[in-house]
Amino acid sequence: MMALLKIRYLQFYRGFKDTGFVAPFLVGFVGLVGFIMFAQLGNPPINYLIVGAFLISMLSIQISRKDKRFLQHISDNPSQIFFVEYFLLCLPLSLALLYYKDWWLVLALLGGLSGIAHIQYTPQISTANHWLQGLIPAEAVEWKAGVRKFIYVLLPTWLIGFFGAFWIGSVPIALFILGLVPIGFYYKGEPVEFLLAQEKNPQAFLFHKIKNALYIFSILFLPLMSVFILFHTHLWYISVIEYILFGIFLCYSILVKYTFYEPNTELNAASFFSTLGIVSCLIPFLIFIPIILSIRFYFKALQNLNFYLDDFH
Amino acid sequence: MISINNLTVSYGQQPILRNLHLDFQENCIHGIVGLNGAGKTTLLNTVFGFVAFDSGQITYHHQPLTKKEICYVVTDNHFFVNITGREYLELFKDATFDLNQWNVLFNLPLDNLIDGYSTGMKKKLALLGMLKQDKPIIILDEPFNGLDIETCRIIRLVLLKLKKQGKIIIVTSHIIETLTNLCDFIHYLKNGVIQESKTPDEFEQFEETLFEHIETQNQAIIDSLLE
Repeated sequence: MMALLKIRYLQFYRGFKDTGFVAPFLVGFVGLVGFIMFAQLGNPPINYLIVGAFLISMLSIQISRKDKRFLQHISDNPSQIFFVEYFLLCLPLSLALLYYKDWWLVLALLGGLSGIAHIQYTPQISTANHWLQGLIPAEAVEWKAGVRKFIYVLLPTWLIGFFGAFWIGSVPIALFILGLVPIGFYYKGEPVEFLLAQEKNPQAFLFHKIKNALYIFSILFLPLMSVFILFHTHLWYISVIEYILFGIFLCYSILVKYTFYEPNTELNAASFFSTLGIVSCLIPFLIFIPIILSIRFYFKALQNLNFYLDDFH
Repeated sequence: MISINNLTVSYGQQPILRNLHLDFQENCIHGIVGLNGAGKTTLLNTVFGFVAFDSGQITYHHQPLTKKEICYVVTDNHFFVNITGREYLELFKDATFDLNQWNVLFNLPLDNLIDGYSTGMKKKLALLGMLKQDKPIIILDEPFNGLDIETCRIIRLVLLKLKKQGKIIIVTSHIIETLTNLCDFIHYLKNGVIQESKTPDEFEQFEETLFEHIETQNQAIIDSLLE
């Protein structure tokens, strides 16, 4: 058990080191979120929501982790290992709950973690080849993969938004979800052959990538915007603002991705900057941050892509 | 012809390739052998343009070699998650490529997600991608890793056919037998330089000498460990 925990610590440490210059921002961000959560833990029902969010996160880790079979091979009691790992991850929350003398929630958290640690279920890979996939351009692999993965979120959201358009909140909420989900499609670096296959110089490559993304995004957004304007003409600007805002976020995410692009890797820095850009828009006077950063990241992305696509000038 | 002259490549202070000279002719399959760490993958990465060289020259028809002319299949094949084999192959534009006909040879479940493919299937998919790209230079780093006997034989036949079409094919392998029955030249890379280049009539002797050298070098240690 101790040997495994040491390995986990080293993996965590190396992962943290790999985040490079993002590390201080990450620590700051986590510290800020931690502080806000600590301050809110004393206020019911927020404390229940926070504990619930932690349990859902641990559940999602347990279901998606790929080392379940490996741990079953090397240990007689893998659930114990899972439990200790999750307990350590939730230790700051447990201590904070103890500080507020929230004994029941501590017990609920530990009970929940114990239950989660016993879950052996791993979802099977779904092929999900539906007709929608054929409509997405071949080069937009992020959308092909993303739509396949999130089809059970995207399709019902779109349908509820469209057919419930007579209700004022339906379309704006649907647009919000449909605008937010695709940003997560750009957090992983594709193999370099995917870049080379297009035989374009960095500028043309980026332009093509953004054009394709905006094209699919518009197909997703425009019908919903139309029905919203039909039913709520006087509030037309809400859907237009969402369209513009999420369009900017999408372009920004693509530029961030290729600024930090490395083949076959999870782009932690890209996901961090994307989140930062989106969060900054929630604060009115910081709304221009993604636009300003987009200009900077455009030139950075060109520079980075030039290493791979320099022969296609 | 690809000409490599005085090529020196270092990682930090450590030289990997030292003043390397090598020519790769058309209509030929060139094998590169060397022990682990000899610099095979670095050489291929440098030819492809993924590693900057300290000094030297790599030319193709007397012009600097570019990625446009090369298809490079790396040892570990990575793909994007949640896409199918067919979607991967659609990235490469070639209207004349009859995918279904080619897949009769490889028998891949093209409409399944690549995430569920075995190592051998991923290799076959990467090789189908190579065929679809139809570039004049083909670089294959360990193409036979993870493939079954039938597919190894099919790949051999395909490469021999491509050679006749005038392509330059560069192959590395840890299993020397896969190269001796395929290549027109085998180049032995050791300590960052090409020690010798052999033609088919010298392969047998080269193989024997190499194995003898390895066995002599290690026999005493193995004997002492397993006594």
